[in-house]
Amino acid sequence: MELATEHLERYRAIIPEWEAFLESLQHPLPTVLWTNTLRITPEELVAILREEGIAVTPLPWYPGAFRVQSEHPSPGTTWAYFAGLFHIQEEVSLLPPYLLQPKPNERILDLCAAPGNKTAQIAVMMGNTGTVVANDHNRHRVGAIRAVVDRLGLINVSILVSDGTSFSPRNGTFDRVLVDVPCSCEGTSRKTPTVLAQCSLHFSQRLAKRQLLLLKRAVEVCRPGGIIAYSTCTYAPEENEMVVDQVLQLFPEQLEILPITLPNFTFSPGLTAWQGHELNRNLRHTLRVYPHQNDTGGFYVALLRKRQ
Amino acid sequence: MKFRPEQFQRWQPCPPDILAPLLQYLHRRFDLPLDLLQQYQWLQQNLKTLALTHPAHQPPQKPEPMAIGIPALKLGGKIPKITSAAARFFGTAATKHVVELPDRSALQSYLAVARFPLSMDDCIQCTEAGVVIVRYRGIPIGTGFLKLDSPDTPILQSQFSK
Repeated sequence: MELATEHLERYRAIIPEWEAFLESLQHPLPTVLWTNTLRITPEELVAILREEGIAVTPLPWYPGAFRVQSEHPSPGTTWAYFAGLFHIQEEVSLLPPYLLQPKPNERILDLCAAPGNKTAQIAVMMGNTGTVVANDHNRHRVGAIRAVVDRLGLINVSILVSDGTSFSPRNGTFDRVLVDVPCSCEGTSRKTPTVLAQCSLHFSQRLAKRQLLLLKRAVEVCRPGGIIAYSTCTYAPEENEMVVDQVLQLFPEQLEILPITLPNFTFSPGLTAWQGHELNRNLRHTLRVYPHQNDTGGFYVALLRKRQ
Repeated sequence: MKFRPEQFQRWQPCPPDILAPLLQYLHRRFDLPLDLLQQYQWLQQNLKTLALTHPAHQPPQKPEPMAIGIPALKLGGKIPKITSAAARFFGTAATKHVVELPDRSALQSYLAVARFPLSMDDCIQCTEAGVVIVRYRGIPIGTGFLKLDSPDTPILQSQFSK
């Protein structure tokens, strides 16, 4: 299927190796899965998958996660999947929980949680202890979170339906907050080629208003000293650095950007200027991922600390 | 059994006088250690369901959560029924009323929610008909209903749920 890549032209100046980028968009995404270490070890899972005719290779940067080499049979139709031994998730969307580094017994908020992949990842990283609040404003999408939680056996997750922009402060504060906001999803075009047809500068600007409100609320419910991960699956600076830049201006004394280090994974620094707008210089410490860099989708992550 | 409406408080811990016999039942039926079952918090999800959560879990207050932890025990029938999620959660610790699917054919039948015969060798300590925990290669995948009408050929009705 021919991609409507004209819209992406406006990123030509910021995306390295432009031709390689465009070429990578023509290929479907590899399937990636991660071990439910509450139930099984990665080594045991590899052995089971091999018996099911599924060859995998380990991701170099994420312990217990694997890239599927053979798509037949589909991993999601195996008994091991139904038994909750692993979960299937796009590689690049593993980034925000991995960088957030949730610890056992902490209290974590996933503000825009549906369909629950990152919630599950966080819950497992916490060893099924403490509290993960999976919030989403869309009641119809929350069923997907429940299915993931039940299959993987996650007893540390509560699911909430509420508008994240007005998430109640009565729910207390959180050690870490993930804000994986609704976005224009440009970075998912390898999975959903039609997504680019809906993208426009106006669309991104409209989404950015809600994204800012979500990030602002995340800052408000994060405890002093806590960490916030802001992420999107889009290339649009209006939805990425410019949203983070605005929240830094709203909370100049309270927030700092944490540098991101990620061995064995290629990424580009965040932008510090875009179309005549000068942005916070520390935004260079945020992370941009383009599909051709690691054979993934596109993504953006910023890590913020709320000062004591 | 189920909660009487006047007893019920959504997402509050199950009262000890109601919980104790339920955990005793799980202990008797599946030989699940009582101290294992008591490690967790059992919450009232609705009149007919108990949910299982971590004891240190601090659920949000407003609005009321749609779900907390996993649904674990159904109370609507004459006897409580362990859910698929709880069977997968506790199933490796069970040593009684457990079915080990012997081969891929049995596994396929189970995943197809079929009714199929087993041999008694596949049934671990299955002394009574009723709900069993179903495992494959020692890994719990759900529940089934075991019929023991013929002592040589037990029949398993799959209750597989994705």
